[in-house]
Parts: sequence; structure tokens; C-alpha cells
Amino acid sequence: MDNKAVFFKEIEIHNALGITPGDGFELSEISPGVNLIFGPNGSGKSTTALVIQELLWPGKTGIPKPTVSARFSVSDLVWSVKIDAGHTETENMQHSGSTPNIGPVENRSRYLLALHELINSENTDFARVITAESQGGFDLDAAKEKLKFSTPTRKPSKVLKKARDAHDKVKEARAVQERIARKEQLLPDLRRKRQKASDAERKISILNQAEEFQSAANQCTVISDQIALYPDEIALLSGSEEQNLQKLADKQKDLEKKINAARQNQSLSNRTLAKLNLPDELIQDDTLAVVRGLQKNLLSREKAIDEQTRISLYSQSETDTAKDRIGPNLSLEQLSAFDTVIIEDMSMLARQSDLFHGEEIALAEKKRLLSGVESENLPDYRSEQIRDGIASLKQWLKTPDPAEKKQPTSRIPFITAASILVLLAVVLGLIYTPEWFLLILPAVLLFIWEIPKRIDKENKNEKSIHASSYRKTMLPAPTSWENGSVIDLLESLVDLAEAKAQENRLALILRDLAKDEQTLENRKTELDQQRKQIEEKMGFTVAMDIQWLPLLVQNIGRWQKHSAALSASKNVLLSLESEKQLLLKTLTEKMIHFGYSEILSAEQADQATQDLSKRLEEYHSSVQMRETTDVTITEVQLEIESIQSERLAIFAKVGLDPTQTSTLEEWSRQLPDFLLLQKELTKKEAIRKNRQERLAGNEELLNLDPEEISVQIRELEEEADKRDDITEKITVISRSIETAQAGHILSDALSLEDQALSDLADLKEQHSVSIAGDLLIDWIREVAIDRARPLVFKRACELVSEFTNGHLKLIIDDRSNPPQFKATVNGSHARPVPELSTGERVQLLIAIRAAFLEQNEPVRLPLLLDEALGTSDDLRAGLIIEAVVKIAESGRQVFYFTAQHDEIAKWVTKLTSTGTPYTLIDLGDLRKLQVATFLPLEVTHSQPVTILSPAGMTHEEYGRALKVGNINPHADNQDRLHLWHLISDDILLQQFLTYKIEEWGQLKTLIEHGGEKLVNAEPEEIEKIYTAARAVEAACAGWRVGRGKTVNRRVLQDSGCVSESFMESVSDLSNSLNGSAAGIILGLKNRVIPRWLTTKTDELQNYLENNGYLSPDSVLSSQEIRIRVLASVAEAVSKQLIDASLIERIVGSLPL
Amino acid sequence: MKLVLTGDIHLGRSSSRIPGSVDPEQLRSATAWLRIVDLAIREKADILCLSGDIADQANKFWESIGPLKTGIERLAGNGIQTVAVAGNHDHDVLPGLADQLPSESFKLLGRDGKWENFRLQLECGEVLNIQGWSFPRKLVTTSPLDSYKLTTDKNEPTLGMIHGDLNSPSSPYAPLNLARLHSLGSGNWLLGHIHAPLLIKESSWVLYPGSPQALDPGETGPHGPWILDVANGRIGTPVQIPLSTVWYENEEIDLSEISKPNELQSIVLEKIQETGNRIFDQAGTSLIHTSLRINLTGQTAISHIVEKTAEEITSDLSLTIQNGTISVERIENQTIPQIDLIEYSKSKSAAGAVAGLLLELEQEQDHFSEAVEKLIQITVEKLRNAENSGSYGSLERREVNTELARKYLLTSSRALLTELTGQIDG
Repeated sequence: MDNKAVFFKEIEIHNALGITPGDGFELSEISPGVNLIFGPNGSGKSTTALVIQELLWPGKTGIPKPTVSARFSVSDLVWSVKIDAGHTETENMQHSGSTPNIGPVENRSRYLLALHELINSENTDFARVITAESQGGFDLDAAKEKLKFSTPTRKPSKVLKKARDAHDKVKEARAVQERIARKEQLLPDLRRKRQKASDAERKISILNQAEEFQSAANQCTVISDQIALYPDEIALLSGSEEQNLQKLADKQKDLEKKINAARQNQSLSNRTLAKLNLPDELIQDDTLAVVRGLQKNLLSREKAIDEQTRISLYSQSETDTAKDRIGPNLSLEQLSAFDTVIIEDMSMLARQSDLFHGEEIALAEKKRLLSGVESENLPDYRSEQIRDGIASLKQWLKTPDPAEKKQPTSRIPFITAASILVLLAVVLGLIYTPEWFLLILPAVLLFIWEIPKRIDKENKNEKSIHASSYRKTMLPAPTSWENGSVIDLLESLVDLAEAKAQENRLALILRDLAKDEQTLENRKTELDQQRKQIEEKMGFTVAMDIQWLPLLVQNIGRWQKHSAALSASKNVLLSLESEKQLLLKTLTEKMIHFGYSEILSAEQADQATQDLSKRLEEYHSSVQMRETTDVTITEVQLEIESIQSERLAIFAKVGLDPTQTSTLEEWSRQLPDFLLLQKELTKKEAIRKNRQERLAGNEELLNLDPEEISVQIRELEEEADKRDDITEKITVISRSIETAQAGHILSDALSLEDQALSDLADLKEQHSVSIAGDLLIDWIREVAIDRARPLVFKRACELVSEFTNGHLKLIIDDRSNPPQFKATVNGSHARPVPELSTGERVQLLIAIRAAFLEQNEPVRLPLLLDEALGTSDDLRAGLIIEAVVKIAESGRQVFYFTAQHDEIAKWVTKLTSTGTPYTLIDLGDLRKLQVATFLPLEVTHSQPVTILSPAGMTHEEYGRALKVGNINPHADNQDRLHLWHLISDDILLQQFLTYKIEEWGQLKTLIEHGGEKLVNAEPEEIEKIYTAARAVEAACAGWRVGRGKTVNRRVLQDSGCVSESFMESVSDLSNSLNGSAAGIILGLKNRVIPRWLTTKTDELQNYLENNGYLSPDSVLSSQEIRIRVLASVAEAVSKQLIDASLIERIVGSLPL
Repeated sequence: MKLVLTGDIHLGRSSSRIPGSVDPEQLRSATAWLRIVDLAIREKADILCLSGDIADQANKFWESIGPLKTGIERLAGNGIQTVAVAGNHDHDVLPGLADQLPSESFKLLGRDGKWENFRLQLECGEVLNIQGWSFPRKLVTTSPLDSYKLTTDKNEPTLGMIHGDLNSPSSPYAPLNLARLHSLGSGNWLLGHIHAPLLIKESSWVLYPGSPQALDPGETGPHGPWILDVANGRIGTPVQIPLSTVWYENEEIDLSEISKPNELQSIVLEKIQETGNRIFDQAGTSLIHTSLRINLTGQTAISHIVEKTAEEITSDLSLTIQNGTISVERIENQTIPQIDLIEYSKSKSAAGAVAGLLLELEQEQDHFSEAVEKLIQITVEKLRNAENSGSYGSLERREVNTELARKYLLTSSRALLTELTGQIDG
């Protein structure tokens, strides 16, 4: 940009808008710097401003036919512009005609800054221009969205819930385990108690024994006294004496009866023996067996004799029969002479003779059958002759007549004939000889013949040829050479051929029979020779036909066999008879002693033996009875004596004689009671002894008072009763432990938790990347896009910073549509222009306009400000004035129009202090307006800001004097932190304060734009301030751990969880709790706000947790905070950019 | 004399981030412990040494003690004595167990933080001194080695056992100094606390046996107990026996040469297959699952689709290799577009700014430009806020520092650069 600028020197307004001719005025002493044009409403301020623009862009402002003029300079040239009723004349003093280039009329609005315009405008056009130039061809928003780069604002509810659920399950499982562990800790005590209970049981047992001992001892005494009342002898009784005496008496009676019966039997036996009259000396144990043996042998001999007699008779009969059949030709000697060889030869001859005889009969039968067959008288034709005739006739028949050659049916007879011939040949061949099969040949020939015949039938008649052939056979001719006759003849020839064949076969059979007859004749001769040879061997001739030889041989063998048997049988009979006689004699000798006569037969012997047997049996029985009764009598007598001895012994045992029966009876009656007492005494004594033994070591209990024992037992029973319960408890706990040791419940829950935490960690990883990405995008915007921002934006930023002393920072929101300017106030979140205060808005937009004015304008044009200060407070107005003054000082003429006296005063004060050339024009005065319409301008200088000097005060005292507030650790950042906390050099601090730079955010913005020169601060000083600020932020961050940030109405609004209807009450709750998020959530959960939805509490809690208002951590101690602060500025400490006292002061400033 | 060495079993926990298709029983550290017991019996070991954190603090009651007790009793039944020191996780558990079991079955060394020597002599005459120190409480900020005053016959072999943090002087978990360890006893030490197996061998050795069952994706490589022999008065060098059913592995795949999506699929699947085969060849028969974390790197023309495509390829991928399965647990994309970053950074555009930032962040340096430093600081602050928010309170609190912020800024910068250059490419 060159130094060319337009400076109005004079302006005349004759007719424009509300200013009419004659009412016009002239601004003659226009300053090249600032021109303050004061005047009440309607005094022509706005018209003047518009006229100035009309003079620059004639005809472009819309003023209808103005008549105005002006003189202005551009560089060294002075231009004159005259507009007369809209007609423009422009000239400069040196040259005429050429209008200076002042830029396009579109830029006109940039130079007129009216208060109402500034308030209402957001300057989006400027923003759009800046954004367009800043874009580098990349869509960061799209990339951000696609990569999901953002700082998560909500909790990862699903994954988190899964992790919490898994953790709950772990806690649950662990709680079970811990319960078991706690129960396990009870085990030693339980075991001790069980031991105690067991001890009590044992003690009770001992006491019971003591009690039993005492009881038994007492009872022993009582029973002993009772026993002493009985006679001593009673002790000798067994108790069974009476019963035994009775038993002895009964037994004696029985024995006496028994002895009487024995004696009667003895007498009976003696009588029976006498009656049997058997000699005792001859009766042996085997007598009867010997007799029976002899009798059996005798009987077997008699049976053998009978058998041999039957055999002998049979053999005799068979011998006689054979002899009869042999006949008288052979004597007994001759029969006996036949040896085995001869008999075999004769047998062979007989068999061959039998065969010969059979064949002879068969041959005779054949001859008989053939003799019935009579031979016919057949014509004397040869078979070949007949066969040729048949063939010729067939050929003849096959050959069709010339008249029939066109009739296919003429073939039928040939086919029929051939078929008959074939059939005939098969039948005959099967019945008789295979030669008949030869007849098939003519049939075949017939067919063969028929086929060529059919072929040649067109040319010649062959029938005559076949007839001629037939005639050559010399066989009888047919009655006529017509088909019927020829067929008849053919049939007769076929019959003849059959008869001829039959005749030939018969002749063949008869020839074979003759041969067989000759063979039989030869065989007969051979047989006769063999017979002669046998007869020579025997020495005599057998006079019988050869056909009877087999029968003779058979009978000779039979005679020889039975003759030998007969001889043997007779010898056996003789031997048997001899044995029988001997047995009869022996038996008779034996039996005669027992009174029997001579034995003559086996039957007689049997009868005698049976009788003897009966007698001997009776004998033995009687003898045995007699012996038995003798023994019985002896034994019974002895028993009776024994009984009597026993009876005496019973009485003697108790000192009584057998007569004292009544005494014994009395004692016996008393005895049971006596014994009972004695038994009881024994029992009790045993108990007493046993218990005494058991109580060894506890002898003191033997004499313990029974009452005392009872008391002790009752006391111990209470303890002992617990044993089962305790054991049960121990068992239950032990089982729980065993089950837990074998289980995996907690292990599995931990695995699930691991998995859930892994998922959460993955999500955290994603979120971390996303957070970094979100910051990266912002950083790229700031570093890259801001780097690419056009100069105009940078200039605007500088001007904003200058105008606001760093209070406001200009940013541009590329993401909004259309792009818009925003501002951060002391580093807080960016707010769009409409959300700024009016003063801030004016400051911001003047800066933007001023920046744009400087861009690409061919010449600097005057800036027209119409009540631009408006509602700005003193400080802000001062800053705007300063800014405008700077604009003016940079070589731009400024016109400031206002109706406010105080504004003029501010301007004058400032302009005076800076020495900037200015002119104050009072339009009211100039136009001679009535006093009533305006107040004359009275310019009073406003007082400069004075800041308390730190002189004579310590830093702390200075802070108190400045009424510096404490550090607010809840704040997101420390931009609102009073600089006193950061600057230990009070002089430097005062300098900043003088320029109303009180807060860290202001200073930061100022420094970012090079504003530190304002106070000539050294770089090291600035670095110290930054270090202190980092220390404060670290301290606050440490303080917030476990505390969370303070909740205010704005947070509640941002959360989106509190509706308007509840906002007031929740906000009140927050205020009452000093913004404690935990307190708010607790209050909401406790329903301190009626109708508040519980679900909203959870949502709000989530929001507060995710945004750092609720912290799950423990609060850090001052020491821990101090360590964190030191860590954050460790490097600066080493460079002595911060000292320990400042750190201590910072930490100490934090609320407890 | 044969010893089996292990520690950091964390009974009561299981391997994490493993697909649901794998039998959860096989993922339990308790199951791994029983496999160790079987190994000791099979190997006819004389002693089983446990270097602390046998039970996990989160599950220190029954589900840890039950299997531990069962295993120790089984070992004792086979003539194997268990010798242990307590770690920060089980300092309050092992003493109770030691009270319940006879000392010839289970010997806890160094109770109440007092060094103890245990001299063991086998029937064969072989002698071994085991010296140990146990955590008396959860946190021990001073080095236990400072109180070591044990003396033994120098001719007898000595093995030290302690749970602690090696070469980390500010650690609250018994900080240990390596040089000091080498100078004490015979210099052979079995340590516990670090889950990654580590054998430092000089003239003597110091062993972190690592968790025998790999428990999370950070525990990469083979895991299992170690075994060693003591013979002729000399302690041998331990050898690891891979016994974990799970193997976590990080695999980097350079996609610089890739220009087409189908090539990406091939290279990723081939790499998975190749890695799987290598691991299953190297691992013992116990291995049933390999979990891969894949890091995609390099400058590639398809950087804008790499992440999505790789996730599509590996999502729900479960390959069967040899006797086990392999899956992809996570894919990290560090690829960037195929551009000249330096030239790009010279542009005043947004993408140019990202390229410049990426170049600056990728340099390992302490100081960045003012603007980048400011970005990092804001990121640290925001991440710290997120870290401190209730959302992630259940996760282990990370130290949010410049390095962490740099990491996330790098990730987001790469993604943003890919996205912005994609906009130009349309």
C-alpha cells in the first residue's frame, strides 16, 4: 500500500436530503486527522457523512440531486469536486478532468460505520471472503466426521455397563469367597467350642459314673441287709431241688413199669423158642444162605438140562430134514466126507449153472417173441430205387405248372410235402433207426429245388424232366401225371420205403440171436466138464441134473452143521445131570437135621428152604427179644438205685434228711427272692466296681455330694448340647471351602471382567485417538488454516486485540454457513457476534472494517464513524478511540459524528493526550440552530485511570489493597485470574493494571499480538508470568482431582439434562451446594426437587462425570498438589523462572 | 538333583482376549499349574521352586489355594518338595498355606521379609542351598537385597529366590539390582514379578521364569516352566519347557510394496499362516491357540482402505494350524499414503500441516516446535481429563505424558493424512 490518501479540506453542503438551499453550511477547517462532528439529532450529521461519500462516488449514494462541493487532497494533488443538482465536476488544481481512483463504489459501505449498522451487522460478507481464501482444498470437517474425531461427551454406556456388570459379578463372587473366608476364620473358635462341648460331654460321663457309683454302693448295702434275714443253708439251694425230687419220683415210677414189661417179654421169648425146636448148636449165621445157595444151583441145573434137551431135539430134527432132502443116494459116511473145498467148488459150479440157466431162458424168450413177427410180401424194389423215385416225384410236385406260375399258392403243396417229409423223417428216426433222418435230405432238396425252379420257371417247364427221372427208377408209374395221382404214388412209395427199412432191421436181430445160441451151447459144455472134475475129487458121482447142484450143496452144509450141534448137546446134558444129583444129595444132608425128608427136586428144595427161612427168622427174633429184656431189666434196676442216691444227696446238700420234705419246700419257696436279692447285689457291686475303676484319677468324685453332681451335670449338659450344632456349622463351612476350592466362579467372573475391561480399554484407545484427532483437527485449523488466512484477517485480529487490549480475540468459524466471526473473551469459549455485548461488538466490527479498509484500496479514504462509541463504557470507549486514533495516525482521515457530549469529551481527552490533530465541529453552532434544540457542547476532560501504587506495600498487602480475589480452582482455565497471582513484580503489575490489563487471559491475548511492548516487559518477565500461570493451572488441576468442577446454571444448560421448567430449582440447588456436583446428584436422588425424573439424574450424573464435574478419585493433599505443581514447572524451576515461595503462595491460595 | 522353576502363575486367572471357541478350561492358570505338576512328576524332579505371585490377589482365596494345595500334595506324594517365596500378590496367602502343609511338602522361605537359607541334601548326597525372601506386605519400596546377610559353605551350590522388580530403583515392588544379585550367594537367582520370561546369563544366571500360562496379549512369545540340573556341586543353566496353551505374538507387516487390495489379502493371510506355522513348530504340544496382534506399516497407495480391508480379512478369522488355532486379536494401522512427506509438508494446506506434524512427531526428540509442543500439551491435558473421568475408572490408570499424547497424535495424524490425501484423489 502506498501512502496515497484522501484528505478532505473543505466541504460545502447546499442542498442535500434535509438540508435545503439557504440552510446549507460549510465545514472549512477540516483536520487531516480526526474530525469530531457534534450535533443533536437532525443537525445534519448523517447527511454530512453521506455527502462525503457522495463527493467520493458522485451519484452513487442515492441522495437526490444534491448540491454539494468539496476540496480534498490526494497525495500532493488537491482536487475539487462540485456537484450541482447531481451534476458532478471534478478537477484538481494542477490537472483537470481526471478523477482520482478511489476504488469501487461497492466498498463504500466499508467506510461508513454507523452505530446501528455495527450493532446489527455480523459482517458475514467479510467472513466469507476470509474463509474462501483460507481453504486449502481440503475438507477438514468431512475428514473429521469420517474418522470420528471428537471428544466424547457421553459415557460409553454399553461397554461401561458391561464392565460394571462384570465387575459387579466379580464383587459378588469375591463377596461369596470373602464370606467363606470369614467363616473359615470362625473355624478355630468353632473347633474350640466343639472341643469344649466334647469335654463337657466327657465330664458329664464321668459325673454320671460317679453318680452311678454312689447309687450302686447304696443299693449294695440295702440288699445285703435283706439277704442276711434268710437262713444260711438257703444259699446252698439251687432252686431246683423240689422239682428235681419230683422228677426223681416220676422217673422211678416209669422205671418200675419198664422192668415189668421186660419180664413179660422174656417169658414170651422162651415159650416161642421151645415151640420152634431148632437145635441151637447147628444154627449158624450162614445156614440159611448155604441152603439157599444149594437150592439155587439145583434150580439152575434143572433149567440148563431143559434147554440142552430142547437144542438136542432141534438139531436132531434139522439133521433129519437135510438128510431127507439130500436123498438116499448119499450115505451118512459120504455126507460126513464132504470137505470145505469140495463144497466151495460145487457152490461155484451151482452159481454158474444158475447164470447159464437164466441166459438160456432169456434167449428162448427172445426167440419166442421174434417168432410172432411175420414178414410181409413187399415188392422187390431196392431201397435206393424207392428213394430216387420219391425224390423225383417230389421234384415233380414242386415244379409248378406253367399255367399256375403266377399263382403263389402253387407253392403250398411243395411246402406241405417237404414239411410232411421232415416230420416223417423225425418220427421214424426217433422210433426206429437214425437212418430215417436221411429223409430230411429230400425235404431240403425239395426246398432247394423249388427255389431255382421258381427262378427259371419263366423260361422252361421242368416237370417233364422230373417225370423222366422217375421213370428211370423203374418204379410203377402214377395213374396219371397229375398232382393228385402223383401225391398218392408218393405216399405209397414213402410207406414202401418204411416197410423196407423195418424188414432190414428184423433180419439183423435174427442174425444176433443165432450168435447168442451158439455162445450158450459152449457154456453148457464148460459146466459139464467142471462137474466131472468135482465128482472125480469126491470119488463118487452125483446122480442128478446139474441144475439141482446148488440145492444139494446147501443141504449137505445144513446136515453137517446140525449133526455137529446134536452131538455137542448130548455131551452137555450128561454133565448137567451128574451135577444135579450131587446137589440133591448135599441138600438132603443139610435139611434132614432140621426135620425135613429127602430132597428130590428143585421145587421140593425150594419149599423146604422157604419153610426153614420162616422158622429161623422166628427163632432169631425170640432169641433177640430174650437178650434185650435181660439187659433192660439190669439197667432199670441200676437206674432206680441211682435215683434213690440222688434224692438222698439233695437233702444232704442242705443238711436235711429225706424226711424233712416240708422244710425243703419252705426254703425252696423263699429261694427265688433270695436269689433275686443276691443277683441284684452282684449287679450293683459290679456297677460300683466298674464305675470305681472308671473314675480312677477322679477319686474325689466318689465321695462328691450327689446333689452337687446333679448340679454340675445340668450345667455341663447345656454346654454339651451345643456340640451337634457346632459340628454341623463346621461341616457346612468345610464343605463351602471344599466347594469353593474346586470351583471357578470367581475365576470365570474375572475372565469376563478381563474381557469387558479389554473392550473398555479398546474403546478408551479409540477415544484417545479420537480425542487426539479432535485436537489435531483444531490445531490444523489454527496452525494451517490460520496460517493460510489472508492478511486482512490477521490485520483484523491485530486491530481487535489493540482495540480491546487483548480482551477479545477474533476468530472465524469456517464451519458455520455462512462463515461467521466469533470472539473469545479472555480465552473463554468462542461466541458469535450477536452474543457479544454491544460494546464488544462495536469494537470487533470496527476492527474488521478497518482491516478491510486497508486491503487493496487504491487510496486511503476517510473513515466515517457515526456514534460508534454508542453504549461503550469508559474503558471500552477509550480503547475504541485509541484504535481510531491509531487509524488516523496511520494516515487516514476520520470523521466522527456524535450527539453525545461525553463522547466528545472522551475524544478530546484522548486526542489531546496523544497530540493527534483533530477538529471539533459543532453543527448546532455552525448551523445556528435554536438553543432549545440542543445543548451547547461543553468539553470536559475525563480523568485518566489511576492505579494504586504498590509503593511501601508488600506483595500481599498490595494484593489486598487491589482487592484481588482468590484463585478459582473450579475454572476450566485461569484466563480470569488476576495478574497479581502471577506477577511478583508489583511495578510491572501496576503497569499492566494501568492499561486495564488485569486478568491473565487479557495479558495472554495481548502478548500473542505483541502487546507486551505496551509495558516494555522483558521476555524473561513474560516467561515468568507464563510459568506462574502453568503452575497455577497445575495446582488447580491437582486441586480438582477428586473434587470435580463447579456446576453452575450454564453447566446445567449445557448438559441438556435439565429442562427449563426445572432449571430454576436445580440451579438454586446447585447454588446452595456451592456448585458441588456430588451434592446435586445426591440431592436429586433424594428427591429434594419434586417431580424430578430419576432417569434424568442418571443422565446428568453421566454428563457431570464425563465432563469432569464429578470425580471418582480421592482428593489430593496439599503436599501431593505441591508435587504435581513442581513436576509441571520442573524445568522452569531449574531456570529460576519461578521460585518456591510463589509455588507455596499458589498452593496456599487454594481453598481447603 | 533336578529342579523345576516357575513363578507368577496367578492362580485364579485365565488367558484373556481369546476367542470363545477355545475351551476356557484350557486357559486357566490353575490348569497350567497342574500341567507343571505333571511335568515335575514326569521329569522325576526333586524340587519345584515357586518365585511368588502363585496366587492372584484378585482371586487369592479358594480358587487359588485349592488347586495349589492339591498340586503340592500330589508333588509330595511323588517325593517332590515344593519351595516357594511369596510375592506382592500372595504375601498374605502363602504363609497360611505353609501353616497347613508339612514343611517336607511345602517350604515357604523368608517369611516376614527375613532372609532364610534352606539346606537340602538328597539321599544320593547331592546338596543344594536355597535362599529366599518373601514379601511381608503388598508394597516394599526398599531393596530386600540390603538386608541379605546369609552365609553358606561356598563349596555348596546355592540358588536364590526372590520376587521383585529388577533394575527399577523406584519400584514399590522390591527393587532389585542386577549387579548386586550376581554378587550374592552363588549369583544364580530365580526371580518373580515380570511375566515375560528373561534369562540373563553371565558367569552366573538370573532368571525371570515368566508366567507359565501367557495371560494377556502383552505376554508374547513362549511361556512355561524351566528345568535345571544340579550335579557335582554345580548348578546348571535353566531350560524353558513351553507349556502354555496360548501364545501371544505381535507381527508387523510392511505394506510398502502393496498397491492393490487383493495383494493385501494375500500378504496378510500368508503372514498369519507363516507365523502360525513358526509358532506351532516352536511351541510344545500343550499349545492350542495363537493370538496375533498385527501392526500394518509402510507407505502404500491403498493406505485409505488398509484398515477396513485388513479388518474384513481377519474379522472372525480362525485358522486351524497343526493341532491348534490362530486368530487375530487386533490390527493396528500405521500405514500412510505414498507421498513425499517432506515436499508435502512445505504446502500451506491442511494436509501439508499434517505431513509436517507427522514428520516432527516421528522424530525421537525431546523438544518440538512451539506449536507442536502446545498441541502435545493440550492433548496431554485432554487425555488426562479423559483418564480421570469416571468412564475409565475401572481400568488401570495410565500415566498420561508427552509420549502417550505423541503416540495418539501420530495415529490420528496418519489417519488424517490418509483421509485428506484421499479427498484429493477423490
